[in-house]
Amino acid sequence: MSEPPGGELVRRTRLGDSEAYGELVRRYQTAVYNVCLRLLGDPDDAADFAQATFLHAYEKLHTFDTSRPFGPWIRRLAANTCVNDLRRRRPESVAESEVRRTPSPAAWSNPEASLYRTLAGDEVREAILALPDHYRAVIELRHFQEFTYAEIGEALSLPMSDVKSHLYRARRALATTLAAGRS
Amino acid sequence: VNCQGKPSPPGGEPPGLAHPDGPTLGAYFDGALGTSAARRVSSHVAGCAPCAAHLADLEALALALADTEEAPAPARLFPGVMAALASAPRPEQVARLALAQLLGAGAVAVATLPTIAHVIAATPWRQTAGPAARDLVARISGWAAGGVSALHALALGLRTAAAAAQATVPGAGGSAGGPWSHLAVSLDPMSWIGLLLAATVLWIVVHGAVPFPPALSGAPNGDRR
Repeated sequence: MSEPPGGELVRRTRLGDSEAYGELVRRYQTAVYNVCLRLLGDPDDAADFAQATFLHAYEKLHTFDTSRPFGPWIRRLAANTCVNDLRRRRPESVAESEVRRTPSPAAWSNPEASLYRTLAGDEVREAILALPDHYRAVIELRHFQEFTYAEIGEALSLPMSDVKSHLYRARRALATTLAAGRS
Repeated sequence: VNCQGKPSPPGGEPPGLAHPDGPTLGAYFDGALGTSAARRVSSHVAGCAPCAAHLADLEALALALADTEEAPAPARLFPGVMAALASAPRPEQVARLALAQLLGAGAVAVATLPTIAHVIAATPWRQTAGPAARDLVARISGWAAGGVSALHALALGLRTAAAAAQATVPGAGGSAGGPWSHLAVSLDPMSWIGLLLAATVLWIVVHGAVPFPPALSGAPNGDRR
């Protein structure tokens, strides 16, 4: 027997069926936890924020459009919850010289880049977690949540030029870490 | 020297050969550049091996990120969520409360209408205004006062029902005082202000403390004593 779709589970939850919401939590707990983990970088914080996300989603369930998939909705809710926390944190210091420098793309280029494909998934995850907060945030929002640059800027209160440079530096740092892991 | 290793001409590279910086190439990769900027980068990349290699790197990194293995959720997450849900308001209660708040806010908005209308009606202009204008003001006042009362009665009923339902949820901290014990806290300040405004207007209408338009005071149009 096939599993009921997310929209059906949401409808049942709205009618007071807590088992239905339990099923939604079971299905999406890994995805939500990983969004929080990649954004916050700490497993304990991620578990707390994942729980808060599910509770927040439960309270806001009447605003969810059941004709749309539940997964992207709750992942975005998790991302917004964590980003709000990141914005409250003191920003990590980024050396001004690093921010202003715009190295040539050739300096970034890695001839073994195609070997990324053979990296173990948890190596990539560890490399993401090793990034500073603001770099992890742009990587998560762009690559995992597929935010536009404008949406990233709005979420993180950054001008477009900073979104571009943060993404560039985050990707470069990630590439450097992954390349070092291979050598 | 441009990105193809050729000497740059005096005055810089012509469009199409100027080497885009890393953030610009990244934005090009993400489709975040405007049409003309994207066209410039595109024509540049077509003849520039280092920039083409950089884009290939970005593609490889994006693929690696897409294949990232997810960490398993901690064992405490699911039971933690379910335990916390036991003390959370149910979605239908939240929806009812949201509707009640909306009605409360609407009532506040409507409550201001009879007051404004009454103030206008009590000013000297009405002595010179025609019967039609005075009648219109009186009707607006009457409808608004009635609307305020009805909306507030409905909002109070919904809030009380929601509070009563919440009191029955296990672990929700429902008190033995029943639904009325929730009323004081379930009304937001704006609703209280609205209620006070509505009550004031109704009191004025009933007691005739201030001269009121004839339609509400029961006198025929243009025949106020």
